Amino acid sequence: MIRTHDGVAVIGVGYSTIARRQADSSLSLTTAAVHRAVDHAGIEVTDVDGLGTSPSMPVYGGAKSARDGVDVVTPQLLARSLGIAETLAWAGTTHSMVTASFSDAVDAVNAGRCRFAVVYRALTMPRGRYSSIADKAAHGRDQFYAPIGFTMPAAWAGTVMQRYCALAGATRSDFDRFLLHNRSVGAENPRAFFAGKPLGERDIAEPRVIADPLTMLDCDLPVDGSVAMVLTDTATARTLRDRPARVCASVMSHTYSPTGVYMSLDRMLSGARALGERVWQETGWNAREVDAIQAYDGFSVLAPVWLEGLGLSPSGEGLSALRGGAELLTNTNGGCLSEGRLHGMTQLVGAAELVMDGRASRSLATVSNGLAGSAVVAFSPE
Amino acid sequence: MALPHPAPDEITQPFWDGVAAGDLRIQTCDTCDILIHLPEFACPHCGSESLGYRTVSGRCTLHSWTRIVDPPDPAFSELVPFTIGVVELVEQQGLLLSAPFTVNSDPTQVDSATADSTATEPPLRLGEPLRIVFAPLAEGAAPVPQLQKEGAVDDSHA
Repeated sequence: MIRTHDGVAVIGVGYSTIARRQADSSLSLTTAAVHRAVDHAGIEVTDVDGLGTSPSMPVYGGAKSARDGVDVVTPQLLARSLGIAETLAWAGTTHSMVTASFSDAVDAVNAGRCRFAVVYRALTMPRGRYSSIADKAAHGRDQFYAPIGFTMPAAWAGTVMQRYCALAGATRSDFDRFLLHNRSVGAENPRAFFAGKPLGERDIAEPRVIADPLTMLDCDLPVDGSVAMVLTDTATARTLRDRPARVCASVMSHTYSPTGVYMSLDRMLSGARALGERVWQETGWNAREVDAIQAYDGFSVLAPVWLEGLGLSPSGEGLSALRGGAELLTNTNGGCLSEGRLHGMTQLVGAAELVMDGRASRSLATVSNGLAGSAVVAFSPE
Repeated sequence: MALPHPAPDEITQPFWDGVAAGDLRIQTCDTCDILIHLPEFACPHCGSESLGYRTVSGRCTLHSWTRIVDPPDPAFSELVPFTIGVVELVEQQGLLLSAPFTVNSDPTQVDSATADSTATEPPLRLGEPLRIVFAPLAEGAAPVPQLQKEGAVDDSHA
């Protein structure tokens, strides 16, 4: 096997403001995020010679189009806006998940195609209702889901949460305690959509139910905003900061769910387990040696599934590990339930920052649900 | 407002023909003999493109469920809340199918006071035996598979 990951590290991160609807265009939010990331890295924007992203809208619902700079931001447009189009050596675009763009950027730097790669994700809320059924004639997979009203990702996650509760002996209140803790951490995170807004007891007592047992509080919120990360080779990284976040593993899942339902708990757990095996193989670590995880929480139930699938907590006990107090640091930025729907950037940035800030030496980011397209990235200063 | 209706294609047509005839017809692989749902272009197990259909019993067990409260589209505003079950067909371990419960089998419809699915005595339990019946969800809608508790009389939504 060609080992490609030993030589690349994250050296800077940057966020635009994160809000529900913003007057600034997605392009200008992204430009702001990149400038903050290169400032954080200690380089100039003219040093950036690689740009990678997943320039796509969220898959589900709303009125979507693909106007460059408004709905999506391509590397080509961003390069012009940053004034680096003539010197850009690598531009990468992948569909659907920015984790694949991140992995491509690691390879691009490692292969010498560029020296300073910026990976970014621009998110824009589509106009109209986020979840709706556009066509009354349901084609393709939709023909099995739209006629029975089973088209919302929140409803699919509701069946996962229901089975999780039934098998783990967990109840709604176990999730409540995790949500209260997560949002109290997120309230201290100035970048978060819910900065300064912890959950109150009344929020927990009367949440809006979407697909029982899943409520509004279990879903991350769609937002307008952009996040960027700077990567470079480890030798250069060490000239710029004491503890660059070296990428020790970056693995993607190819596990499919049984197709009669979009997500199944059992397959998500086996997908996470398979990713864990590959991470331990690439890093040489084991589950007990990990000291931090930013576990994807686009739906609350995904976070304990990651902890249990990766073997970081015993089966059925992931929620208690996520309530803080344990030796393992978890979701230290409040997750995407606090920051907003940034499609995995919350986890990638959060895990890299813990290493750069000296709070963790072996830190994991997990993104999505363990099934095909999901990713685990491992960071360490060494 | 009209509910969405299935638009069968050449791969899925036999499934919907079965629904219209009151049979559960599931795609099967001629090469490795496994059952496949949703219908696929090629067998997800062995990759064979030689696929047919087989009528199965419609007996199944409950794998999970959710009570839909927020309508996924305005067309469902008058149907919510209702319960969708994910069931495993008895013919093959891990073969899942999603369908709504019939009115009289749906705990939400029978007694909304007990509809908190994580209450100490859940209205449904994992592994509970069910069977699949076929009926429209509303007048004028296309027939779809629905879930009925074993032993219940035919009480589908429409």
